[in-house]
This record gives sequence, structure tokens and C-alpha cells, in this order.
Amino acid sequence: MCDLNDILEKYRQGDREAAGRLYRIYASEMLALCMRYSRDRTEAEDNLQDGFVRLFEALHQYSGKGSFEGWMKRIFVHISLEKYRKNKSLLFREELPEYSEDEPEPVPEIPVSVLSRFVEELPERYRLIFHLYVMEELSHKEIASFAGISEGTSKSNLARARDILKKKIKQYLEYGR
Amino acid sequence: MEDNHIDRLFKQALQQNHPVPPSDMWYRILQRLDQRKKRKKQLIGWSSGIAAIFTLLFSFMFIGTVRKNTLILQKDSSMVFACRNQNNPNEIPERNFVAAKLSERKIIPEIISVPNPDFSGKTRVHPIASTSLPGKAKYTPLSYVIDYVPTIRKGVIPLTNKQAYETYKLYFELLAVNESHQKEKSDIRKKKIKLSLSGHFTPGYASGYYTAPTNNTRSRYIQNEKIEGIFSMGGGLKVTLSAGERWAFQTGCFYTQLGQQSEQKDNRMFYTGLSTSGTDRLVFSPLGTIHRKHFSGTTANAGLFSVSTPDPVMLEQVFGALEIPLAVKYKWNINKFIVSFLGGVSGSFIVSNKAYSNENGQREYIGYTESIRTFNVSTDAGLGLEYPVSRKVRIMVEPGFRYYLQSVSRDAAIHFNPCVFSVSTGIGVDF
Repeated sequence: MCDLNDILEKYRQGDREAAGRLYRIYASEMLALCMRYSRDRTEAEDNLQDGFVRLFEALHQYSGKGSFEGWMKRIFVHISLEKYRKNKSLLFREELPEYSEDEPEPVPEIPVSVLSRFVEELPERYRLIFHLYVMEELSHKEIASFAGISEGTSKSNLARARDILKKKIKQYLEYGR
Repeated sequence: MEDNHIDRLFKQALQQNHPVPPSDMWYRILQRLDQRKKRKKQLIGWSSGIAAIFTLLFSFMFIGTVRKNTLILQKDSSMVFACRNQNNPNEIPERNFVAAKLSERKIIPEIISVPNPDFSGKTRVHPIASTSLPGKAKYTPLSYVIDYVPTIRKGVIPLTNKQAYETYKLYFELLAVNESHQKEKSDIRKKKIKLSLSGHFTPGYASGYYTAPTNNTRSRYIQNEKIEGIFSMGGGLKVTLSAGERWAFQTGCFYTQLGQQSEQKDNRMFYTGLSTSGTDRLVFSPLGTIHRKHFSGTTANAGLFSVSTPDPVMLEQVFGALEIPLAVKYKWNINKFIVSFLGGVSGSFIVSNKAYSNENGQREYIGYTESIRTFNVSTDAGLGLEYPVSRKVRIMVEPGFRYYLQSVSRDAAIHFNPCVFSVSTGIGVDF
């Protein structure tokens, strides 16, 4: 963290190399984030580029309070969702989660590629909310603000996403697909 | 399975995904940052220039206003006008008046008393701003002068008795002769219909509102924010027909440049959309397909079509338009320095259609954009500022905005409504 503060301070003093170091540290992680909210890799790369440009322009606004990574993630999420919304209107439905009788179980051993596929197969509106909540660790209040929906819709969409994922896991463990 | 187990399971899985950004991404970010810095500087430059012009023009306007007052209130003269006591509006006329003196461009009011004032046959003038005397009630001047006299000595002459008041009236009659002459001249001017011709040079900034609602043949969504404006040059002749003192109609013929520029990296129009059609090369651009005539692999920008092009290439699409404006002009300030508001519509004929590539400042003509609408209609609004340099010649500055009501592209999947911010400078001659 001390190193990060050092980089930020150098950047504020006009050191371009500091910006490059910041990019090298976070580029991969932010690209993964952008890919979660983009339709394809090309769009994700565009968002990555836009995100870093906005980040460097707004870096002087970062007060040092709170997590830098969290602050940065919000910039990239905001850019990605903004574009997503422009290109395609997102429909979030107010739904009640289906009742699940699942008992607490140990975490199963499922290959990463399979789990990634499960998430990718989620309906778009559930997938986005799931990503925002689980990966970006945003609160329902923040998700509601980002996606322009109510907190209730965010909660119900997340619950629905989890239900679908649970079913997929169950199905995979039973039938191996 | 608990919710937090599910969340943890997927988070751990998805966190193992470490995609590698393209190798040239950092270079592209640096280029974008540099460009935005450059644009900011340009914007600051333009804003400063426009602010300087406005400051200069409003200074002229202020001087013009002062001069106008000077004609009525000669220096070292005093004016007496009836006042309405704001605390008691029904209290007019009363015995209290304000004597005003123009000295060193300041109106110095002083309460004086005139017995039995006579309001008949007094000269009307524009009301002067409210005056406030320390420790006294606030007075609002009425729109007529009670008396108007030159002072013999500096300072306000107190009207303390009826004899003094009569003396001032005598002086006033002498001065009124000059004033009525001025009024006659003004009346003649009002009745006359005036024709004037002006030549304009119109630099500006052309941009536009862009949307591409569907993922069309260019295979990419292109966002409005990816579209940048271009500096446009133009000019032309304007004919103004003044009907009365304040209203005028304008028409003429103007040449304006419209268009956009965007980066290769932003829309990948060059290489993903490239195809061959006979001897023409086709380039997919934000505003439609560009026909690239006489393509030769040895041209300077042959690298334009390569995915590995290291430098950002800008694509400029520039349209020359011949415009016939029809505008109404309202003169808001008709002092020596004229300030007016303009509004109207223009018919615009696209007479030139060129596309250029620009790589590191090397601009090269590459062809023309297809499906461009030949005739368009735009709406105009602006501010007119005029200052006479002689009896018949005026300097004119007209900051304005023009917005095209139609998309310049006939392609249903492309909406680009150009707009132009311009500062037209010109010289007008009255006939």
C-alpha cells in the first residue's frame, strides 16, 4: 500500500512513469472487470481504455480515504454500465426468489471453466447484478444507483441468480454436465 | 448450499481469470491522454479569445451608452427630474426633486425642493436608474425631465427659489432647439428602409450529434463521444434589409464546413470493415462507407489498413456546404454600438464531400463518403454586434450556433446532425 501511495504521489507530481506502473499493476484485473460487463472482448478493451483515461484525469480527486482499488473499480464499472445501457436497454424485473430447500453443503469441487460457463449462461440481468454484488462487492444500494433500479429489484435479481446457479451445480454434480 | 458459499465459490473461480490486455493498450491510453490535454488547451484558447472579444465589445457598448447620456446631459450640466417616493408611490408630484449632474461619468443626485412645479411640455427621456441618497428614501426617476439646464459653475445648482427655477427654464428652451433637431434626424432614420451588404469570414468549430441505433454494416457500434469535431472555415456575403429601427431581415450566401473526425482505434473502421469492390477500396466509417478511389498499395497511408498500425490514425470526413440563410434580426441596443439577436433557418447544399486520413499530422485525401444528403435544413441562432467605423461602414462580429435538423446521411442506420459554433467577423456597408 505504501508503494501504491508512492506511485500516486509521483503521478500527482507529473511523473508519467508512475501512471505506467499503475497501469501495469491493474490492467489485467480491470480488463477482467470490463469483460464482465461487456458484450465482447473488443468492447471490454474499449472500456478499459476509457476507464484508464478517466482514472488518470480524475486521480487528483482521490483523497486517499478508503480503498483505492474500490474507488478505481467504481470508475470502470460506471463506464462499462454506461456503455452497456446505451447500447442495449437493460430490463431488470422485480421477482421474488423461488423458495429453496437446500441444506448447507460443503463447497463442491467443480472446474473453474465450468463455473465460469455457469455464470456466463445466466440471463443478462441476473448476471450483471451477480457480478456487481459478488465480484465488485457493491451493496444493493450502490447497485441500485449504478443500474438505475430499486434495491428490492437488485436483491430479488441476485437471489434468482443464486438459485439458477445452485440448480446448475446440482445438475452438474448429479449428471456431470 | 448457503448464499455466501455460492458467492465465495464463484468469486474464487472468476478471480482466476487474468486476461492480458493488448500490447499496444498503454500506448493508446497515452495517446488519448495527450489528445485530451491538447483539446483542453484548444478549448481554453478559444474560450479566452471569445471572452476577450466579448469584453472588448461590451466595453464599446458601455462607452456608447455613456456617450448617449452625454448627449443629453452635457458635462457640467445638471438635470432635474421628478421622482417617485418608493415608500409612498402616490406622492407624485411632490415638492422634492432630484437634481442630477454628470461629472466624471457619475450621476450625483441631490434632493432639492421646487415650489409649484409645472409638468406641461416637458421633454421625455429614458428613465435613469434609481438613485439612492444616504439616509434618505429611495427615489425612482420618472420618465420626463422637469428641467434641463447647463450649469455655470461646477456642481449641482440648488433650486432654492422660484426665480432660480425660471432661470433654468430659460436655459432649457435654448437647449431644446438642439434637441428637437436631433429628434427630427432620428425620425427620418426611423422611417427609412435601409439596405446593407456585408462580407464575412467565419471560423468555427463543427461537430454534431451522432447515433447509430443498430449494429450496422460497419460491424461496430460507434458512440457519440467517439466523434470529435473539426475546425471549420467559411464565409460569404449577407444582405440585410432593415425595416424600422429595430427589426431587420437577412439573407445571403455562405460557405461552411461540416464534419467529424474519429480515431481508428475507437471504431476500427479501417481494417475490420475493409473490403474490395472492383478497383475501389471501401472503408467503413462512422458516417457511412468511404469509396477510396485509385487505391494503390504504395500510398503513404497504406499502413492504415493494417491491424498492427502503431500510430493512431484519425479519419476526417469534411463536407462543404453552400448555405442560404433566412434570418430575422432584432436590434436590442440601438446606440452607436448595436447589439442584436438573430434567429432563422438555412437551406444547405452539400457541394463538397471529402474524407482524409491523418496520421501524425500527415493529412491525405482518401475518397468520398457515400449516401450523403445533398440538401439539408438547419436552424440558426446568434448574437450580432456592430460598431460603426464611419458613417456607412460598420465592423460586425456575430457569434452563432447552427444545428442541422436532418441527418446528413441518408443511411437509416446512421444519424448525424451536424452543428457549428462560429464567430463570424465582417464588414458591412450601408446603401
